[in-house]
Amino acid sequence: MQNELKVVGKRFPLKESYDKVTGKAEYCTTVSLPGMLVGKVLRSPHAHARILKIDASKAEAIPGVKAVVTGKDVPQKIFTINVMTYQLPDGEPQDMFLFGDEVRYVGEPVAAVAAVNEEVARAALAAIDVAYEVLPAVFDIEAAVQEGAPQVHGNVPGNVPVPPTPVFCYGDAEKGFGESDAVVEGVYSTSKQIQAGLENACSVADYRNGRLTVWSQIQLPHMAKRMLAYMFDLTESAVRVIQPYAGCGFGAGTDLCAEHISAALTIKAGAPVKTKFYRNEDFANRITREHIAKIHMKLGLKQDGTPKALQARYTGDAGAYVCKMASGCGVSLASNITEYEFESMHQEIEVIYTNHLACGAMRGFGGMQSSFVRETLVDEACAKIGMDPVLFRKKYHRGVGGLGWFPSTAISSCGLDECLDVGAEKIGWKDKWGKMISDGPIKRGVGVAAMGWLSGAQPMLLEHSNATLKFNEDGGCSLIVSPGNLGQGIAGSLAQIAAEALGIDYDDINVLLGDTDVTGFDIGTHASRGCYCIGLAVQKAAGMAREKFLARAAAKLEVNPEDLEMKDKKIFVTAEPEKTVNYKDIAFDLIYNYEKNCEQLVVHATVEPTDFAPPWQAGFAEIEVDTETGVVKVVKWITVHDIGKAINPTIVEGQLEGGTAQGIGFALFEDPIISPENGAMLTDGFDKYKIPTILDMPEHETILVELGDPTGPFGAKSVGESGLFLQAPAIANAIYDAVGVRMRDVPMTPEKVLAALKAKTDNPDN
Amino acid sequence: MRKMQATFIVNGVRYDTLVDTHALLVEVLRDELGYGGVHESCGSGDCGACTVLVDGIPILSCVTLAVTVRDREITTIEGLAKGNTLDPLQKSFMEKGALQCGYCTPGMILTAKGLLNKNPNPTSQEIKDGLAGNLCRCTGYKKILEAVTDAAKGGE
Repeated sequence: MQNELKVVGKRFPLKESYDKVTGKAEYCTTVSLPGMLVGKVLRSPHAHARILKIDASKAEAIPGVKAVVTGKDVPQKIFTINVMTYQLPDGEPQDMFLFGDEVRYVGEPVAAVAAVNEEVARAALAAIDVAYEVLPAVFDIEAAVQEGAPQVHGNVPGNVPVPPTPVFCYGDAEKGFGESDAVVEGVYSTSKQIQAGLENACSVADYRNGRLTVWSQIQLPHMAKRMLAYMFDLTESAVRVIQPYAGCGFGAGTDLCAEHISAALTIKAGAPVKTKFYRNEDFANRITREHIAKIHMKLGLKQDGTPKALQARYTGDAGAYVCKMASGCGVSLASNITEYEFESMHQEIEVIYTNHLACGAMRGFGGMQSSFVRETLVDEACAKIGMDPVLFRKKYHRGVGGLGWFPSTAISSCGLDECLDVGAEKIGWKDKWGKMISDGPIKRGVGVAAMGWLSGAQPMLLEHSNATLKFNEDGGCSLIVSPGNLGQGIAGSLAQIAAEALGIDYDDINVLLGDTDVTGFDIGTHASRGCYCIGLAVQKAAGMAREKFLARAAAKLEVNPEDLEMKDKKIFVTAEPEKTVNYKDIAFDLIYNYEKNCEQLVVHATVEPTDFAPPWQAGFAEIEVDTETGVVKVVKWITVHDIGKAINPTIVEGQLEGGTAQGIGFALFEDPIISPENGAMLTDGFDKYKIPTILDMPEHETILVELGDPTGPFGAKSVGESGLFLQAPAIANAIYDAVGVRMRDVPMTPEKVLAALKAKTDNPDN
Repeated sequence: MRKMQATFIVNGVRYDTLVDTHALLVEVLRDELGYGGVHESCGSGDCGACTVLVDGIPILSCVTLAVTVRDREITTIEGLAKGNTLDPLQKSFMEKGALQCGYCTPGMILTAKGLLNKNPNPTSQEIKDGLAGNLCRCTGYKKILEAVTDAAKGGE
């Protein structure tokens, strides 16, 4: 079957690449509407305060100011910017008010203005008088749970919205540890990484004649529509969300950023409003990676490697609002289940409020933290029993039919053995691991890590996707779908799936997305689901269209539809291939039938996928540690990814290569610094929060393993988040190989590496 | 607020304007003249997204006062293709998959154009050095390096 593929597996350019290389692509930041006003947000200077009074009269009197909105101007309803809340029957916690009477972090919106230009808008912000009663605040999860700690939310005593809760436990972990020959444990911390897409947070909203239209960078447009309708007492049908190309994403688009603020402003001003964050506002106020601040994990293995027990607790520093903190911790522990055949597991999550900026989701949601901790601790356990960590992984990873990431799930395919073999060969594992001895200050090491992930969060969440195909008279068609529009290449990949299934060309398909008035419902882009889940809807719709074409051709050829085949734009009788009709002629006949038999062919498919089709991956790092400066340099990085089938290899590689950059940043130098005095994000620019430049990238290589998955469209599994899981653990393991220290905090900055080296010198037995 | 008469030559078109003396080039190009391909991100010269060419040399339009480049030849991404014929860099960025979200792409391509104007046959290290001021969060730069290398070879 795979040999016959004509469109799937080919390296087509992104559907949107012409627009993007010529400067014609429209983004929220480039949308311009007649009479559009500039929106700006007034933010709290206090980490925790009650708002006693807001006097906006001076601001409103400034010529050119068209609206000032405060809590009095919007319905005071409890909500969350985390629109993914609608994917669970009981939702995720909602604990926010728009311009509410209490602020809980530095930067929380207090009011907003709309004015004719930026200068007037800034003058208006400066003219708003706010009287605050400053309240005590807390900036540390340990301090937040002490008796007498400041209360972030009055209705959540003790600052613990989610107390320690066991999730998905099985077997008897205590017994497992008792039977283990090697037990290792550690307390780890991970960072509140910033998504840092190049386009600043921005939205445009236009309220007219009772309808609200919002241009948004959101990855989940239909659920953003529902939240905005709820917040402003509108019907869902009165809200339209348009997604231009988004120059940011990586999970940042799973929460509202400025949509609700622009909406409040346009409803009051009666004119369109664009609210664009400055870069420092974007870094300091757009919610970040789920911040699993503390992870305590313990593993037990038999001497032969048999994995007996895994125990872990994930503690999330939610910041001021829960958003996705509980689900982030939950996904983290769930993804531990997939990897190895532990006989028992006991894992808990816990979420604590502080007066920090809340956190949302970033690419690799929860999996970054599980892979960093689990994969380094596995390395430690292997060292203790004297087993090659590549061999351990090959021997004890779960395989087809094994337990997946969630109770009741089963693994549909697994190419991890191939990934490990290919990667080990490429990096030269046998010759290098434990064998690169040097007398100088620069030490070399290699490290490995592995993971299994998911293609959509089945069966945890609502997984509802749709695809519509509308055919033209030449057989070309519009494919109407509703993913995020982030540049991930989804439009082209879905077009390849449709074209392959219909036997037509890539260029025959125009993809329409990004308008909730046009597209069917979809939960959107997150959890690495787009190509797999929406792809299944597209494949199903294409199959339905094919049936329609065959039925019409059968009538023309006076045979039964089941006697026909459709291939290369021809429909022919299987037994008599010379008996044929052109696909194009049938398409033409559907539209221009002069014998009263016209039909506009529009097919529509809904899917709710049930499998989670895990992609697997092995990552290998070769690094140098400068023992005098603590600087870790990645010399070589290898990703070997089990993609099932690459619909478009260029796009798959691009996802993985981009992930490598973000993963190296996460591992070594992306370091969000949060003020211990007021909880504010101090690294609020590209000059302070360093993301990798082209000069920071090592030699890196991406290799795809394509063994097919029985549940995926043409065998495909996911890649969206997979690129960045393994750099931190593999680099940490390579650091151990090089200098014999275990790193437990990311980013592994030179200061931390030096401190670890010093601790080892001071106390060689540890 | 002082205004002054200034002529800007953008992609070969002359614009006689009355601009604020403190207006930034990015603001004039994007807001006054409608070149939406000029993308602003950091606003402080850290990311390269707003790069345009002035007399063939890349400059950061977010930290350039517009009036300082009046009467000079400004090229934005909209001016790189000749009609429907794309510049070799634009073609290679498409073919190599050297872009994803595309927000850094205009600045990245124009920086590469400036590099190739000066050095038509750069080494891999010279390309990396030339693009070091342009941040991309999506691609990991590998395909960008391939695209610029490819376009340079095509230009031999």
